[in-house]
Amino acid sequence: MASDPQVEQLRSLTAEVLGVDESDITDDSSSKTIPQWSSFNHLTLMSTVEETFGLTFSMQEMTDLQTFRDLVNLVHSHVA
Amino acid sequence: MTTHVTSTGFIDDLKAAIKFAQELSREGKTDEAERQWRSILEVHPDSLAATKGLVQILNSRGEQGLAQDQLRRFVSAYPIHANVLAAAQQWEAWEKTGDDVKRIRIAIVGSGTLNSLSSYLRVAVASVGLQPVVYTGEFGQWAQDLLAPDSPLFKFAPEIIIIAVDTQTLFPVNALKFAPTAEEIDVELKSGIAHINELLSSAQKYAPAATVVLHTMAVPDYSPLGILDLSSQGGQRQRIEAINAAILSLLQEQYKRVIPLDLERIEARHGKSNVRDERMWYMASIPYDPSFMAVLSREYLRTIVAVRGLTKKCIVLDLDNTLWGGVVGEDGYNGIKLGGTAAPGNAFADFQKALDTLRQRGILLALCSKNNAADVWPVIDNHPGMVLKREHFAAVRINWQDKATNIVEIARELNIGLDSLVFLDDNPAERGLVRQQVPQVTTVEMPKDPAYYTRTLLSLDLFETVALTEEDLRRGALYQEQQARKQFEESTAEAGDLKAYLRGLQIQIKIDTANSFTIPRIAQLINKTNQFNVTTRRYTEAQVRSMAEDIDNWGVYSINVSDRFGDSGLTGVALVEKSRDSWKIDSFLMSCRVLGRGIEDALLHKIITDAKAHGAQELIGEFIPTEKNAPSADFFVNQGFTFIEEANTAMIWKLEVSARGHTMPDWLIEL
Repeated sequence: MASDPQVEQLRSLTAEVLGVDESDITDDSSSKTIPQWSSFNHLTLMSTVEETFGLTFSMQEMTDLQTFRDLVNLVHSHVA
Repeated sequence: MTTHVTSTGFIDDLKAAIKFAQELSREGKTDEAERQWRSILEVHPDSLAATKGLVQILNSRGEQGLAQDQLRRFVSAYPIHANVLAAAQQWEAWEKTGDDVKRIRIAIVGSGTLNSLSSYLRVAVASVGLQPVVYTGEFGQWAQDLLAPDSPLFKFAPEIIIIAVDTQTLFPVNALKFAPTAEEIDVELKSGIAHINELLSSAQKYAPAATVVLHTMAVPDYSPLGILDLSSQGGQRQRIEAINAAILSLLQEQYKRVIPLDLERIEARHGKSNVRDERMWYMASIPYDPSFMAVLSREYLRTIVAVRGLTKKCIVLDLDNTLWGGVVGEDGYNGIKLGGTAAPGNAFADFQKALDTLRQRGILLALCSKNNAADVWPVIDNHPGMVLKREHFAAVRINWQDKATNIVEIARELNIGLDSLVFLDDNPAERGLVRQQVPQVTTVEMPKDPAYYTRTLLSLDLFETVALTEEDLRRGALYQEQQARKQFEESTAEAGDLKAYLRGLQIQIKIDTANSFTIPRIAQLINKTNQFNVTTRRYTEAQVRSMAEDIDNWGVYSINVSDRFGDSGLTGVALVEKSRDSWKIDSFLMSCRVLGRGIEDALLHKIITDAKAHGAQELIGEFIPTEKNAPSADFFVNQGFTFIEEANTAMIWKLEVSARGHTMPDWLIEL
């Protein structure tokens, strides 16, 4: 994806929550590729994104979300 | 060198500025990196990345105190979930470094996933200047943690144990079943109480020095019986109240030092619907919403502050628009709003009532007002709306001097540290000045509307104690008696005869070894006394009890003082470690109120007499200097000890017990 500011903000946030470098977060990043993406950190990530963007995700949306790309799409769909 | 901060002070690209600071840091250019982080924070004070960057730099330079201040201020100003978790991580990293004296070991176990709650707890504990060291029980493992003597919890050696098992886990039938039979209710009640008894008994046995905080049972948001719950015999609410009554009964009978937490009240206050995020509960068994975790951790903090003796001792109060509506110098006696049924007079009266309740609990009140005394006293003495009276104020400064100077004088007059004071004033300019000039004082941010004053006061978690002693209940009166003593001193001082003054006081003393009535007060003094305290060692009530029971190895002494002006109560403590030939003074402390009258000589004399009788040859004293205990620095030399050596931070002194008789002051009457 192009350097859309919202995407970059999400990348920064994700890196912060997982405790990794921003350069480690790619579209395909997921709990399968990043060991720090534990189930607990997944929920922390969801809460942090909700708080930052003022959104509320459903349980289904949070459990369906696998990759960073999914996260970007989810936020876009809520904000749009 | 670009800092990405333009001349107008805006950062055009925050991300680039952060990246740049990170590069500087990686290159080892710490001073430049620090400048960069600070410029970013000036424009974006809510930047977590910049705060973390700055904290890291300060840490690497060994300036941990500054780093901690920075982090504390940040998370206090921006307490969002992400910041709390990040700050908690940093506090966790600091667990093994820094001042031992500030560390507090807390274990938290219970139902559900408690890791986030631990993070909120870390941040709450850090906010009062302590270093949290937290053990979080694994999911569902509270019984294993508390029942096995060699469990990781007991190995952790906690000072505080929080047991947070919920109603639905311990009492599922009572909490949720539609129409349980009387037998089902009773069987579950008994087995649930037995389980709690097991947990507490084991905690008492394997962590006897720890203070336990036990969640009582909260009532579920809804009852299976709907609106018929209360009118049905044995409805859900009544069943849970019966369970809580049984818990409190157990505590009163066998576990008097366990602190029950009124979870139902805390949840109700927050709003039951705000307590849990059901999504997080269903997905990960996280029992509480972040907003409630913030509240709950501050409730835990009340106990922690009390156990650690960090309770504030005095509230300094403004008058105009703080204790009454209006400005007495302008509106006059009849123009101010106080008391009665109309607003805001009724709000101010309630506020005074709440302050009076704290006073009755042992917190001192002081006045600091910019006014003419002639305008003020008629109101305080005569106005029908006044709840607080002249004699309720332990210190008064009514003048036109700046409040910071007045507050420093008040602290000195009351002989308490500035960090024991809380300042309440409606005027933001006054608050700002005091915050700046005397930052050690806790200046409370008052709401603009007096309607909210009482709630603001009650929500402060600074005034808790773990035991209400007689001294607490009499403290106000004690300060009044002190005024009378001062006046007597002034009159005899004119004659220049100190001995006449001392004899004239007719001081009576009573020296005892500790018993179960005096132990709470002894522990309280041990934890609060800073100035006349030779070693400033802190012990919990449980630890003092252990020492008092171990009469072969320990002597726990207390001294009670009274004179013709009043009874000061138990005001001195000594802990002495006994061995066959040599006794060592582990702690020797005295309330400042009774210094200068030979009380410390009397207590020491008793210890020397006992040591002699026991066959010991020498008495060892230790002086460990702190910021506050200069008043006790000369104690040992004045008592005839000889200096032996300096060991680490301690100065070691010795007295040959048989040498030149140490005498009891002749103006004291020993009971």
